[in-house]
Amino acid sequence: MSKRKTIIAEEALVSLLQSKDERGFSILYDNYSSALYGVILKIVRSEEIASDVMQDAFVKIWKNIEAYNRTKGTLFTWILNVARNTAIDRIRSQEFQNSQKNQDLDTSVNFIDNQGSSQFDVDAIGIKKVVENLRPEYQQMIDLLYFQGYTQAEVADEFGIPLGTVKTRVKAAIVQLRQYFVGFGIVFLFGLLATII
Amino acid sequence: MNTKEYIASGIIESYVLGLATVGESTEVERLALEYPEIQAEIESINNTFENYVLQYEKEPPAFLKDRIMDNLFSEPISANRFQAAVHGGQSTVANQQLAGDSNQSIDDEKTLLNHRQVDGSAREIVSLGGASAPQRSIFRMAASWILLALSIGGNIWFFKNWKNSEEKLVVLETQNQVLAQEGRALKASYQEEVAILQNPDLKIITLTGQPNYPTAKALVYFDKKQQTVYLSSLKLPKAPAGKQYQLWAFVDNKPVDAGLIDESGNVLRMKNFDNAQAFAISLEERGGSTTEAGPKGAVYVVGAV
Repeated sequence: MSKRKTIIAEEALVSLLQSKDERGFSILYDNYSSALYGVILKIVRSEEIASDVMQDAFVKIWKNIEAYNRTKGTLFTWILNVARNTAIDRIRSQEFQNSQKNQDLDTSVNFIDNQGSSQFDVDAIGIKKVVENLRPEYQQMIDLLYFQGYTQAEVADEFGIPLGTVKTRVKAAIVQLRQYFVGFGIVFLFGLLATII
Repeated sequence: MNTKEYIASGIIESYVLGLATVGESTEVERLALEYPEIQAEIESINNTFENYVLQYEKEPPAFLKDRIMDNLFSEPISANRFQAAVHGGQSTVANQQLAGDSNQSIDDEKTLLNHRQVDGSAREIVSLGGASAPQRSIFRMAASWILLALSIGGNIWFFKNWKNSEEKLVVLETQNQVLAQEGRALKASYQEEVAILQNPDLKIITLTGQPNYPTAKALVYFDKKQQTVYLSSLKLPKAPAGKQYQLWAFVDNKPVDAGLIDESGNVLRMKNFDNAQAFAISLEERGGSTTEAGPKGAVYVVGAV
């Protein structure tokens, strides 16, 4: 619920959560659910399964919050990883594979084309601008690694690309994304400046 | 060690993506503590991915929050409370920070959070005050029962009112019909009287009260041509039970029965006469007297033609 986000220091929220305060959970959900839901949906590609995975992920976050260590990264990084891993585990589970068998038959063949235009993604993507700015082979790397949970070696194996190339592409993709966000920030600052002046 | 080379190896990306082995991860974390560039690289990549995934941000279905919270918090409420009490001490830092931050809170969580300044021992009470998920659902349930009860009560009330109105309406309709009938009858009788009175041959004879009945009075409409006799505007005391008024016509100084007076009606049609010198009304036994016997009771009114 983006309209109901509560401004709260991350440390304060973590303390609330680690003391098992229900309101901490409520704030956590309100502040982060749409980000997590978006990622989960992107991975599992079904609203029904996504709701299910959301529940699993939030239960895991709640039960394992003691394991969160601030020195290793932000709370968002941590919960995002929990959500992403839960979703990836789900698509790799036998149950999911069976239910998706028919759809999966030719996905690996038409993989690149599918990324931008699969019947489901139209809705899941929503904002396409970043994706459109990414070169297709970079986008493929990000999707495989981030949303499908492939290792770099698995990508190399499955798509017959040398491991070195995979690594280079991943790097380049990240660099490109980073530049994009920096550029976005600059444009944003200029816009802000322009409005002020 | 050459951090540039290490960064270029792709191991950090693997680590950030959660794809590195346990050994690699430990190594990355150790090096991150040692080399700020590596730490910065980790944060930068994390940031990049986070910014990237925020593009996919999507509102989850509205029911989901309640479902998850019910799932987590509805079963052993007391256990949660207990844990909350145990961890109470830990959260004092959070409480203090919250006290500062809560000014910025944009919604009702604010008030809840403000309470959190209170120390651990008071939390039990606070958590009872601020409704938890199961409590909320109890409130909701109670609210819906109350609404249902109110609705049923309202319906019964309206139904009764409606029934009542229905009955009143029937009564009023009947009354209305009766009134209309009476009105019609009255109108007809007045029309009749007017028609009689408009007859140019008509003679109106006033019968005045006898000394014993000074207030008694009556009118006789007499049309010699048509030989018709009408009685109108009767002002006589009410006839006692078993008695009845009778009209007499004096023909050649002898009283002739001109008909019994029926109490109802505005204008009464009496027996026909072509010749009469006077009219009178007497009170007789029910059924009246005959011409032969003549009037037996007291004469109330008399009038000459």
